[in-house]
Amino acid sequence: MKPFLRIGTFLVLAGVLVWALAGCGPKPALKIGFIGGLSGKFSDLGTATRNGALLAIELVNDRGGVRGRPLVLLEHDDMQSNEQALLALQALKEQSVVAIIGPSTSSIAVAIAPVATDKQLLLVAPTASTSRLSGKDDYFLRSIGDSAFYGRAAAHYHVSKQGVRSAALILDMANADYTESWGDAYAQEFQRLGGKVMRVERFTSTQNPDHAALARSLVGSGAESVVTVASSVDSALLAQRVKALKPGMRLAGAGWASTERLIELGGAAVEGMLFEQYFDRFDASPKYQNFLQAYRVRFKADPGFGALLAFDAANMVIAGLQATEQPSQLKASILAIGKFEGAQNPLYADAYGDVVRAVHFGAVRNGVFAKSD
Amino acid sequence: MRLRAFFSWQQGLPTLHQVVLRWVALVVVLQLVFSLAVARYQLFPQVEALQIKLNETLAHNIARSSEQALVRPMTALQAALKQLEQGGAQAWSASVMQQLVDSIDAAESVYMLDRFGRVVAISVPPTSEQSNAPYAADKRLGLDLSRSEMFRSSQKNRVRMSPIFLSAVSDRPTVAVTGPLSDEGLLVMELSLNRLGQLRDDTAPGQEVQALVVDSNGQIMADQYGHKAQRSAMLPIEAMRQLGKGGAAVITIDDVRWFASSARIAVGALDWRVIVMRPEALVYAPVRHIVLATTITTGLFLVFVVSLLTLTTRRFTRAIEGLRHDAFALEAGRIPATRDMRLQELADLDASLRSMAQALLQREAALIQNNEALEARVQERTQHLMQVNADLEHAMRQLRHTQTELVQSGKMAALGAMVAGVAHEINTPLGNARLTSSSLVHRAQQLRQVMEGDKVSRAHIHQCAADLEEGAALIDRSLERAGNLVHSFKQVAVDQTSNRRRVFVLGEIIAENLMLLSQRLSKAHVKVRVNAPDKVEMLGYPGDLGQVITNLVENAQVHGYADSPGGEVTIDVALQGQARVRIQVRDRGRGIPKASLERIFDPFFTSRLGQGGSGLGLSIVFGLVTQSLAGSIAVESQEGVGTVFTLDLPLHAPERNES
Repeated sequence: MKPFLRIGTFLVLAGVLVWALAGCGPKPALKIGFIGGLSGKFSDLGTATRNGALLAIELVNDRGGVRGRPLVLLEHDDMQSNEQALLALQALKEQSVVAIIGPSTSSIAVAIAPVATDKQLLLVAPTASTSRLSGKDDYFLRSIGDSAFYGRAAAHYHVSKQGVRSAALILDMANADYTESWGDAYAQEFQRLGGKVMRVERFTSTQNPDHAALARSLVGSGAESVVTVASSVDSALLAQRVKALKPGMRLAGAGWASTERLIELGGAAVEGMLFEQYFDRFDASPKYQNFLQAYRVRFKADPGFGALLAFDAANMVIAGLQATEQPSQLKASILAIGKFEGAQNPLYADAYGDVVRAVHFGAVRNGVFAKSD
Repeated sequence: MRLRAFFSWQQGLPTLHQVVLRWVALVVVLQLVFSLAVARYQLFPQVEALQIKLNETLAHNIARSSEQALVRPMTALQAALKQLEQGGAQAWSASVMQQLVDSIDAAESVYMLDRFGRVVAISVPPTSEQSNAPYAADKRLGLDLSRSEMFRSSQKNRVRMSPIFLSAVSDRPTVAVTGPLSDEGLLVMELSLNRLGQLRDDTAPGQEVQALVVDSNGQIMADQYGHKAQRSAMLPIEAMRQLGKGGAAVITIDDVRWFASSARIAVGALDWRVIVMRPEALVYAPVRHIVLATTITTGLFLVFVVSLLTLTTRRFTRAIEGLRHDAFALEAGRIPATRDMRLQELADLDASLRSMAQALLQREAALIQNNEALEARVQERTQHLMQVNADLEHAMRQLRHTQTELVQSGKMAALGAMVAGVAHEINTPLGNARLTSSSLVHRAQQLRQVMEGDKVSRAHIHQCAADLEEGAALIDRSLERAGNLVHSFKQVAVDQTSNRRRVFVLGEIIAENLMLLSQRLSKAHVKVRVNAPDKVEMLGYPGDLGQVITNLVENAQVHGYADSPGGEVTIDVALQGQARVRIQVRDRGRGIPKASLERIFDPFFTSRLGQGGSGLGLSIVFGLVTQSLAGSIAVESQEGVGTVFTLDLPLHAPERNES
């Protein structure tokens, strides 16, 4: 056998040589998943969150990645369908992502959060604010506050600042987990403050709704204000139909709809429509301006709230990754950090990974979301 | 252990098999390295260049055909606008729009905006099976799109392509071709992105090559095989930067490296890019296959060659092993049996070995014969030598006997000399005594005559008595001196002969022995001066010490002052601490030549051979000092200056072993 051992020595040397010739590759990338509605009606929000997360990741990669490892974002379109979202979750698990940014809507979040908790796959949702996932020690964190909180804040603003006495609500059941918790909180607070909820209309946006008929019902309720708890497209279409029936109707909407798409599709009808705002578009602080510039350069457009919240969500994940080398420790690592800078305002995560984020109100003026007090 | 053996060369000499295999392995490895180097530096770059060329051509072609596909809706819209300008009735415009939507495959809807941006007319394909949720087109009538990018950006007399937007009509991301109407309104045709993406299917150049269409943000608009879900929907920004406006680069998408080339699709506001790419792994695959094939072939070749070489070397080794056994046989003195060698060289070697064996055996026989003769001669010589040895031993014994006799006769001679000295010494007082006694007799006779005479005088008697007294006293003194001499002689003789161990005073022993020598010394005009402290008491053998002193002093007289008319010998005694004494006997004579100095204590060494020297004097001294007196003796001498003998003795000599 001895001579063969000598040959073994040669083969080892040859192997080393081949390896040396082939060269050694760069460090493998850290994979971060993304789940969001990239197609269909809610795709403005989905695309915005994707862009925000992507920008955060690309900025980190420009600085050399996390501990020398670049990050990649693996995107999956949930098509606003639970089945698609679960498939995406499974696929991302198989692709060994360290965390997932998303989903962008509450209903998908409610559908996949328990599965993600089972798989111990961390979801950091930028815009899914449903109360149904608040205060849970699960694998679901987010960079937005609770929708019930926003609903109550809106009701309070409408009654005390604007003197609204009666309102008709319309809720999109395609994202019921958001719309119901926002709408319920709004209705309760509105009534508590002495307001009267004249009607609560429900529709499912994915089933080709008749916006004109819905508008007739809302206007027919006799309420002085119509509050849409729906996506930007549906809110815009409803606003147009309502304004066509009653041009002076006071309009307000839930924050979900406050994307740039609403203004583009709503036209003149959404002028004056009031929304809770998750960020200040006119912020002159260097921090926000840096983010704005980076986003404009990258996507040749201005960021909406989805982009900003997703940017923050991705940065929560990045901060966590920088603090720990173990992906299994990522959640604990993020919760341990607690306070995050944010693209505009700092945000604070509690023990359940729910964050508190400043909110203010703004109406559409001359085709932009203006700040109102 | 095995591992260490694997990585280190074996201890000792390598076998033939090992040497051959090492060389084979080296050659094979070199060949492998060479082919790998060729692959790395020749084949890989060539393949890369080829792939880049292919990608570029393909991307360019796809971009051109895509542009045509995109231009077609624009020209159709242009034509429709012309038709609409001519007509005017609502039914007419509805039919024109329907024709338009039917004529373009990708068209999802055609609608008309009035100058306020409101939807005033809409047409959709009769069966919009490609849309997920068929929508009632008429529900979109009245929609206000005045804020939309396409309405705000519309220009007079310009048919343009919008960027991607989320359509309020179809609820889907889409692009639209728009053209201005004469009443400041806008004719819009929305196109399905999916259908636009499908344009590339039939231009697919094969499974390994992928074609993508991305927008200026890197968003993947179309993907040849619908791989979208398998990877990022956005091309990494890094890849976008690398590809720039057009060109080739190796880009990384989700950890996979691709050879990519891009070509621009520029239609209206659309700024899209076709990217044709192929996984780096696949690009390199042919070369890798060649390398792999080469490696495997080389491996097989190695196994084959190693097997053959193993067989051959084993046969060779076995033959050599046989020859080794033959050598053993030869060693045992047998002519080895004939072997069947299958190789000419080995057969030749075998034959040579055989003839060598014959020669060796013959030579061995001759050697044995010679050996036997030699042995006989050796025996003869040995016997002779033994005889000589015996003779020598006999002579030696005789010599020893003679030596003893010589010592004895030396002692006797010394005693003789001593007796002569003593006789001489005694003779003087005895002579004196005799002379005096005869004088006394004479005086006594005189006295008697006087007494018998008459002239007796009292004074005379008195005188006589005084003379008698004086004479008697003189006799008494002489006799006492003689007695003293005899006593000394007796003591020395007793010491010399009995050799009893006793306590003695060193000074007395020196004085007694010197006295016995005084006759000889005075004759030779040699004076002896003794510097010794009083009462140095020793326990030991005074006879032996006396003999040593005598011999040394005699030696000084006989040798040191042989050529001089006289001289002085000094004996210095000094105590060395509590237990030892040093005695130095020094003369200022001619000294001892350096050559002789080392040998003076050897028996029979004498400088006065034939002149009466026995050559035993100092030898005896050495023996007595080192054995009987348990001390040591040293000599220093310089020619013409003198000689010093230094004795270093214990005050208490150990009891002598009489045996």
